[in-house]
Amino acid sequence: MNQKSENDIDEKTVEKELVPTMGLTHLVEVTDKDGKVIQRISAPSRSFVRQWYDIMSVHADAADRTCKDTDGISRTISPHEISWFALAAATVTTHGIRVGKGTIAVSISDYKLESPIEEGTGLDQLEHLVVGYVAPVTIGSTCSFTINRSMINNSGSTITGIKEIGVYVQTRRVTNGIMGPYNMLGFRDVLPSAMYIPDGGAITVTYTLKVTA
Amino acid sequence: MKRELWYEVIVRDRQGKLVSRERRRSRSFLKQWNQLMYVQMTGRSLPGVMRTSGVTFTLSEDANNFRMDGAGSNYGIVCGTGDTAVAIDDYTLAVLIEYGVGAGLFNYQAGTISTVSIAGSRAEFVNSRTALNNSGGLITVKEVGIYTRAGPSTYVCGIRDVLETPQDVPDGGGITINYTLEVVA
Repeated sequence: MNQKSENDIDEKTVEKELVPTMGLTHLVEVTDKDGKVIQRISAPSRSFVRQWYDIMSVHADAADRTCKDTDGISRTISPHEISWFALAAATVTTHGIRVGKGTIAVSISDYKLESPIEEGTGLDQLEHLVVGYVAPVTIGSTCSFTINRSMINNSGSTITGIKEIGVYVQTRRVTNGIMGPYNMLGFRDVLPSAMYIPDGGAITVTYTLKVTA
Repeated sequence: MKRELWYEVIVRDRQGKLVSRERRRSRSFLKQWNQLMYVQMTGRSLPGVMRTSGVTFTLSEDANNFRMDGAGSNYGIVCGTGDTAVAIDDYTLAVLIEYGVGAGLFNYQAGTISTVSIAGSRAEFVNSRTALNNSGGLITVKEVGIYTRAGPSTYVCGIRDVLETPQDVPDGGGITINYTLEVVA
């Protein structure tokens, strides 16, 4: 092998490739009280926010690190079997898929939805159903899985201005005893146009996480 | 959103002098990466997941999942001499360079993980590892990847890349691989 000087190295930096190797997309559908789809948005998502990688770095070397929860409080978290957990039960809004009325563009430092819709049947509230999922499938060179959630409008009137969606995930701390769960924003998207949910209707959000070789 | 993975490969000789460097966008994450994320997000076990050994097992949510700072060649960043194209179903490097100091072996050092850094709309962290060549001969690295833990003592291949340029690591020298996981909002 030829030895080379610091100024004569084989250095290559390639700044562009065509196919993203990891992707996140969303499908948002609104149905009326008869189950008829009246609005649909399907698009690539932007974006994962920093908490997603905060949790990843904690798992990567089993070291406690801090991560901001959905209340804006910095929490120390540990690798735990409950990390990135999004499978919320019905009525639970601490984690799982959420929708909101916020319109501010996504920032990498977002830690919550700007204006999340709360659980209930009152004004501007939605009844959150259980978060569903479809296990990973591989088609061609892509492996993907989905999580989804429907939220029903039994408020008595139309809910307008649904403009943001996202996923809250749970983590824990295990040093000095198990603490938490803590809830972190994993990803958030602002929709290109506002959606409205008629009384008796529902909104269903499906996120697809995929990797492509 | 751009969610990206980059790798950088740096080769030095026995005096620590830079021999070559290559930085490139990684392709790709493999099926096992998404399977790990699925069980963590849902808390549901998943049968039929392939170990790096080629034997299937049932993957479950676990505190060890995604650990990738390993010593030895069981988990962490690893190198190989194979150059078959990456496929989504890859479950191991094509030809793993095992841990050791004999012929064709690498003395893998412990991996390091950075904390997440933010720069503008970008968040990233870096997984780094150096492998020393004390084998007595030259070793040509053609592929790199990340094996992660998938439970206490089970390992899966989450990422594999075939290098654009094979890297000759001289005896007494070393190779450092930096994987950067980043997301841009």
